[in-house]
Amino acid sequence: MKVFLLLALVLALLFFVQRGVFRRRWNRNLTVKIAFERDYVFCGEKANLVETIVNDKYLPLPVLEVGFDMSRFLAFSSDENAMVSDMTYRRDIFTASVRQRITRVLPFEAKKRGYYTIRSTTVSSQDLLMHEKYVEHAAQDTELYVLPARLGADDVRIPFSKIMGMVVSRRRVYDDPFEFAGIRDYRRTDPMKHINWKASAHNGTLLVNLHESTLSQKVVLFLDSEGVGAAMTDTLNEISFSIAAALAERMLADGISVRIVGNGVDVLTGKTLDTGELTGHNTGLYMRRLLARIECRNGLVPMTEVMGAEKDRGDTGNNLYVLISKEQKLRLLPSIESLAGAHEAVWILPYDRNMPERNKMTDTSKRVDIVRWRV
Amino acid sequence: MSRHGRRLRVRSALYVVFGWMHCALLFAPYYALLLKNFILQTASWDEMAFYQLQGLLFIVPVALSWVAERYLKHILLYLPACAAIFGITWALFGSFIPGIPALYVCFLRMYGRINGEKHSLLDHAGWPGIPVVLLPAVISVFVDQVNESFQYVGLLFAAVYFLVLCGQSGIRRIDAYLDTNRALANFPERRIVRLLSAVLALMVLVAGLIAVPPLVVNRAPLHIDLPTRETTAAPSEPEPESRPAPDTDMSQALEALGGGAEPNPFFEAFFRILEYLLIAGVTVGAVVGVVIGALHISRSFRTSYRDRGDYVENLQDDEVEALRIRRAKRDRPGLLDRSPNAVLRRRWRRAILRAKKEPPLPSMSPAEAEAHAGLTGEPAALLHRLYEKARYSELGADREDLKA
Repeated sequence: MKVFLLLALVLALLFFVQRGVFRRRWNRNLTVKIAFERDYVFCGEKANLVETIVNDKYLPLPVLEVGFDMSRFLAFSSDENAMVSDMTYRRDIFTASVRQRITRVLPFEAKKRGYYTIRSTTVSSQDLLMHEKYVEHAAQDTELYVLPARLGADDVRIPFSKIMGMVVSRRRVYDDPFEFAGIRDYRRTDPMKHINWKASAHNGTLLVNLHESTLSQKVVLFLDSEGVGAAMTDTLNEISFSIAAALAERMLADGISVRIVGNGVDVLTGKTLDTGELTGHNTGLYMRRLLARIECRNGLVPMTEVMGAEKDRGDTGNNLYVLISKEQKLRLLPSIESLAGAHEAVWILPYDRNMPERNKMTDTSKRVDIVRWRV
Repeated sequence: MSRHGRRLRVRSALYVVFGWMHCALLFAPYYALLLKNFILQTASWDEMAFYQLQGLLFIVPVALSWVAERYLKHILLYLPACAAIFGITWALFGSFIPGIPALYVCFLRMYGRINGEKHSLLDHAGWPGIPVVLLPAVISVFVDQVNESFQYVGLLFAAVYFLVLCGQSGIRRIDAYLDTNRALANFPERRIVRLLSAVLALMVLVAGLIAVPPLVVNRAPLHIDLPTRETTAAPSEPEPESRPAPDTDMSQALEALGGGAEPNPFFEAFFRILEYLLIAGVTVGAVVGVVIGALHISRSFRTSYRDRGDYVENLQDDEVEALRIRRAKRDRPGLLDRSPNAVLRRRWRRAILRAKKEPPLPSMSPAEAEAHAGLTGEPAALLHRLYEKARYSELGADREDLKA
């Protein structure tokens, strides 16, 4: 009988030892990392979230539950492990044997433009006999830009042509002496300073250098981000962002300087949208990232004030102004007319195709070309 | 899928067999105690031990009743099956009396089936079962009429019952966890089952290796005289023909060394505990060593594989080395370092951990760690100053700082 009691003591001791060891060691050398596979995607595209578990110790973790939350606008392909309410709450179960690395790839679809992060995860495990549960929080640092949705070249052809028409009619082209484009025969109209004397002497006929040109024209896009909540409002706002991004990208590719100003708020800096002057097609991605971070809200600064502030800055004569706003009630037309002065301007007006006629804006202007964009 | 199904069936079958063993282990000591010891007045140690082991045959009617209840759809078929079970039990034990509890088991199964019972007590071992199995052994300690073999076999039965209980409890936990989470996508059921089953089997094996051998070799009975009982002879004196001699153990070795002198009971107990702890330690170490060795060998065959959407890689030695190199050695005082610097640093760490259970991050500065733990006030400021001196200053702390 004494032996039995002693054995019971030894077994109890073993049980408590394993529990103590697990309690102290379960999270040692355990790394849980959650990261987006890419740092940006276009709205509507698919991407992957990668969960990596490294258990670098001689203590197996029979079950390891990893929970985290992220925006519900990143929709996982399978909803079995996720609960969607204000956020997507996801719980995945792993098992890690001794010294193992486990990688799981979770495909998801980016449903809405935005800047998304995952900052923390909850990691929990149970001891070898499934008697006790242990929980800890692990910090994460991963972010994803969902850029405004791409628009096809045909979609923006009309507004882009109008803008380019205005640009060309007002443009002053300057040769850029640092951008050598080629060499050709001299014509009577060529200035003498363009003659390449060395090449002419070598060839026996007069030859002139060709240079790349830069346009002095700048385009300022005003982007209205007012309103959130209603489905159609959100759709119109998102299409406004896509139009802005597509137009800006094409203009940057054509060597036109672009600046985008708006009343939307940057979720990182808390400031209203102002990209500054962008030049060159390499800045396209930067511009799209800035647009991804802009949040649409109710009660933003009215666009009339934004345009008024732009006018107060001066230096408006050289700029071509393009307003992208769904606003049908507020009188934005006088503001943009006032800003454009004697020049022409463009207003791209996305609207709901089911909108009653009586609600549509009927104002017209000689100097502002209104391009209606049916959604 | 077929593999998955097979695994599931093996686990369930094991659970059912454990359930039958639970019934048989509960029945056997009482069969021997009531039928053989009290009614037939059997006195021989070996005979009583045999009857207790014979009681385990009760597993047959329990298993047959389970099969009948599960596979015979019609009650009219079940009733003759019960009669057959009664007959088989009679034949097994050579007496109709054990057939009566077998019939009762059949009745309980039928009753449970009619009531839609899901968890019959007949098939699930529980903690109260251990004292029930042990009760005849305890009675034999105090009552002369009860054979001392109950202590030997009863303890073995209790140990086996404990293992059965551990096995069933473990399987139940595994199944409960799997049932709760099976619907999850990418749920690594196969690997979880494999790992948990291995751990469970290992635990039961270790418990068995620790518990059963000492019980098998140790036959020294315990006897306590109740105060009201009249005794004529030395009660604990064993009869040589009815009970085997106790095995040589540590106490005998001590006795031999002491030239026949009475061993000190405290040292005797101490060395016995030490002996068992040593055996337990060696057993656990050996099992763990075998498992780690097997793991190493198996990993040299396969370094990575895919399982239900997971890419699983077994870390190789070079990767482990790389990980270890990345984890730079932390600057902390040595275990045996008793210098003022080390003492002060330990005090500071203890104060931090006492103030907040969650340890500070390694990247935190001392001030950040104190803020994290919520240490404020004059003593905290003094401790902070001394810690910084101990850890960062060129000269370090001295004895005076320790007193402060």
